[in-house]
Amino acid sequence: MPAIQLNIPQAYPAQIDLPVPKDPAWGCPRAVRVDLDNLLLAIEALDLQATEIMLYLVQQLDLESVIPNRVSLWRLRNTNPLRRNYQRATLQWDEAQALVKIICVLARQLNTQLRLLVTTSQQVSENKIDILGLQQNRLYLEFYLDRFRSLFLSRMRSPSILSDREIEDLSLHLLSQLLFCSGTAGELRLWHSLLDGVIA
Amino acid sequence: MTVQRTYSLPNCTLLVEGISLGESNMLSLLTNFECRFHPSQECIAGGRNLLDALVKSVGSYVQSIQRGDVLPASTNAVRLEPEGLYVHRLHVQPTEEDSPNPQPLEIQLSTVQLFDLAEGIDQLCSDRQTLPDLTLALEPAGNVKKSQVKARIVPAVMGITGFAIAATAIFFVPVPPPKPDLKPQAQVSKPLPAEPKPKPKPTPLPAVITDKELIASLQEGLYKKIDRAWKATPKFKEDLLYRVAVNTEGEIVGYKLTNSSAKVDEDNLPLKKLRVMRTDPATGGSPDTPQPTAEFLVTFTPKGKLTVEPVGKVAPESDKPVTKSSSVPTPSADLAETTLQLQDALKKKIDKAWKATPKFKEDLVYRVSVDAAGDIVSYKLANISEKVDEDRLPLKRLAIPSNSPAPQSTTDFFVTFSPSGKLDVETGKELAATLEKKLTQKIDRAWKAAPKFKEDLVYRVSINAAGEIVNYELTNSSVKVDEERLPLKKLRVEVPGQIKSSSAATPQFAADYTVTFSPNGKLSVKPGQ
Repeated sequence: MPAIQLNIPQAYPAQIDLPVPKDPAWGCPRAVRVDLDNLLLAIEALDLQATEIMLYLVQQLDLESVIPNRVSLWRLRNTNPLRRNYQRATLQWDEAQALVKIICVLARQLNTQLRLLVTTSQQVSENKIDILGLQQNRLYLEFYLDRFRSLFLSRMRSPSILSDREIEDLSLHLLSQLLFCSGTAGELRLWHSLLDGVIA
Repeated sequence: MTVQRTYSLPNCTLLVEGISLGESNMLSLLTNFECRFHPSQECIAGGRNLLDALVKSVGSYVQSIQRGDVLPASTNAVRLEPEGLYVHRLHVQPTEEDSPNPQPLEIQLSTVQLFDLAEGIDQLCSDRQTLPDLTLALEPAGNVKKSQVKARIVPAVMGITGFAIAATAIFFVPVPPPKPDLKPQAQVSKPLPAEPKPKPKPTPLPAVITDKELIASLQEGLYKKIDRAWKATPKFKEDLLYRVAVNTEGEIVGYKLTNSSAKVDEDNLPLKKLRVMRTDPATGGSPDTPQPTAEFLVTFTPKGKLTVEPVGKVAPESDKPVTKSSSVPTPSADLAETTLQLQDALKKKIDKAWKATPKFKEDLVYRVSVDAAGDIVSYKLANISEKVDEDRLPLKRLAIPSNSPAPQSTTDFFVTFSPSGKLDVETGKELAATLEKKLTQKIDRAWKAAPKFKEDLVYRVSINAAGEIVNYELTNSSVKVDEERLPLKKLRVEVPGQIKSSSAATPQFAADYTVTFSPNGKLSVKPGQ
């Protein structure tokens, strides 16, 4: 396997303060588990090597206490109730925070691609691709959409709860969501949007 | 000392100017800022108030995008609102305080430009050396404030209280005394006969349309109707065969998939949309007087071809294995709409009630009798080999033992519980078709020894409803066969003596099949004579 090259800034802020809601002791709400898994799935659709990089990031970000190995990462992702292998396990707050950090670091790596794909999906929606002669960008976007759909269909419960159209809308929404995750305050923004209303 | 900071991004540059107090390099007092968008060179400039408004509205707007429902966000002079999926409109209305010659500004931003604007602001907010009192805005736009929640709860509470007051008042209104009956009952001391419970009336079967001309025109109409409505590209791999019941007006009143092996997304097929509920005033159909119907076989092929044929034309499935104990009057009952509905309702009912994880290894097949109201009157396990914990199956709970010994009009269905959690409810005919397939698979899988015989071996094999082989017999007796090398002996289920006697009293569902083993390894299973 080729060596994974990542340029993670050395002075990466290891400790970001993500506030945890006080009262619910039951772990993350269902919607949070679904959203986090969808974001990870979109990252995978952008880069098939992403799972390896995720595991590598676990060490880099000192998250080994939360995610000790590959299986535990798989287990965390399967707390998504729509998963085929859903085990009715819950996601603890520290585990959710770890996933948020991994998502945002990966999104930063993918920032350039995300910019291109979001711009392209805008151009597609405005029918400007052919005028601008950017057909190859459209192909790239379609490649992502296809890959996301096949990943979604193979991992989630069958028959799919979403129609093809809805899967496409979801994958496009995830692109812009990931784009905003890739910002400086990505972790905080993502965390607050996930727990909208739960935390002060 | 004057300090300048720039946050530069592909689509936007944020320039902040201010004064640092003391020796440190910290920018602690803002004099002015400038935010310039790149291809367009549009520029927002102003003082601290405008910057605060910008930070707040952009922050909460981005949060609402993250959350998935984009809502306009506005703070004082700055307003952001969505314009389509990828375009965002930024209005800035600076006051005199912000700039010497305030001009309203309207900028259209794409999502990526908005990201750069937000990123510039986020970098500024996270920069500890610049304006440390500036914080991120993480409250999404359109969030319901707590005070608003209160405002919504108050009327509701008032409503409930009002209802309670009204109810209390009505409580004190005297109840009018019951008027004595004008025609008193005859003064006989005979106890009143217990009023008979209204029994659910069995739904009469719909009449079958026999007029050939009408059938032909219905066929044509149905074809046109389905063809026009079928727009989705086929996603299935094999032909889908539907039985469709049509009334005299050409409306689809019921349909059912006949090749049950396929899993179909019926939303992609037009039948669901075209079906008309039965109580249509125009045609006068209602559960009591069903409308006359004609049956058609509709085939959807993966290539997009559609065929519609009247049911009579198609070679009927083998009638032999169908149970005769069903007391539904006409033989066409299987095809009738009522049966379809009973079948549907039964499946839904059992499916809903079946919650325990299956612990059995083989398919369990039950014969379930259902009365006209859809209640389960009786059920019986067809399997012999399996021991079943019936508490884990829903039938026990759902069954309503009928009190009247008189035979009700019942319909029999075969309910199959699979270890995988699949549930099938089939009529006798459908079961026979499934059983044939199951038997073929079963024998095929178990037949491993290479054939050593020279000519075809023809066996008559009896199976029960669970697909278990209860008996078999070689028909071409001239040959001598080493039955150890054939799978039948292994697959045969020994009927335990105890059950044997009881099963003699209540004859089991059984079907005969002709199984032919060929010397070249070929296997054929046909419904038996």
